[in-house]
Amino acid sequence: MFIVIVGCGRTGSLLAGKLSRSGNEVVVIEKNPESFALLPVDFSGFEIEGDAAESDILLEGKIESADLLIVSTGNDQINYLVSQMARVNFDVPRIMVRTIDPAVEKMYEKEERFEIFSQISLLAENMINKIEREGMR
Amino acid sequence: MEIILVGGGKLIYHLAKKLISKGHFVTIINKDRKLADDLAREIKATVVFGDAADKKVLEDAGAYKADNLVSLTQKDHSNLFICKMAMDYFGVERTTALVNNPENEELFNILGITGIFNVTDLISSIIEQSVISEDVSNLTMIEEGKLSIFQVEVAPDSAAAGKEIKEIDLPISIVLGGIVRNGDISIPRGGSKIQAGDKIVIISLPEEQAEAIKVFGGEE
Repeated sequence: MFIVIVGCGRTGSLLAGKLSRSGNEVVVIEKNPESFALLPVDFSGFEIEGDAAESDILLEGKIESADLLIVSTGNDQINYLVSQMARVNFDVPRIMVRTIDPAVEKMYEKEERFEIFSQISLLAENMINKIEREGMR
Repeated sequence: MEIILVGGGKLIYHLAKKLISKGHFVTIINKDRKLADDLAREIKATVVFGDAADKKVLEDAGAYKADNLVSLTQKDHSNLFICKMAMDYFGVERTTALVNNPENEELFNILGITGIFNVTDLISSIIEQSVISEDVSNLTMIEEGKLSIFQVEVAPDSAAAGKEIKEIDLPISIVLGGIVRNGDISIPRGGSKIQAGDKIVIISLPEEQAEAIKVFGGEE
């Protein structure tokens, strides 16, 4: 699979490392070049330095042929713009978006192509599941 | 109308004053504490200090009863996000955004932002014209630059000089609004003869402006 990842922070770099190790072709786009240091040494994908909210940078990352886009910067507003650009301008078939503020999830609801991962909601759900499961022991 | 303005600086100040003087109810959201304080002191509007991309701040500003939200920050991602949040969460029907990167204009349009101000294109097209030709002046833009009215001086070597209007090959959507000759204005008819030195007032779509300038202003 050909995967484009926007944002090479702790989440993006972890995903990029694992997905490239398991045999996917991975491109990581990141504004701050120092963040590429977070990628594991065996990362075999491509690194593109630039602002993913610029079409030229997305095109450099071959966004039009991506099977999957993962948008994982630490800014909800940038994530929203980039994922809408990918959907509307480049027709990416599958778009996974990380959200910071759980209040933002609803903004993606109308489009089936978006899959939302809210770190706070996921964490809370996991904890609640565990608490409920253990409560029944 | 209930209008929410997001952003700061001189633009917001003047815009708010104008809207208030026309009888609209204006609420300003600004995330700079000092600017928010200054605005609150100088303008008769409600000023909310906070980040408009935060749902709670929009709620405090009365987004649920706003008719129009205008987002004028320097960042496209903020303007899009704030407008969409107002639409999706609070049902605001009209949203207006500043577009700083011209590439985003179409995307914003597709996403349902009702008013789009493409600052870069507006300013650069005006500057471009004054640089390209001193004989062209932009009179005005209508509907955020969707229609332009401008004036071209007829060059002696142009395709139009010495011809009647009906003989000139012009795209059908270019409308001639007036001929200025020695300070007198006449309304063009098919039989009006164009002379070198005439100033022609032209109404056209921005994309056809160049064609009109070529016909009357002559080749470069």
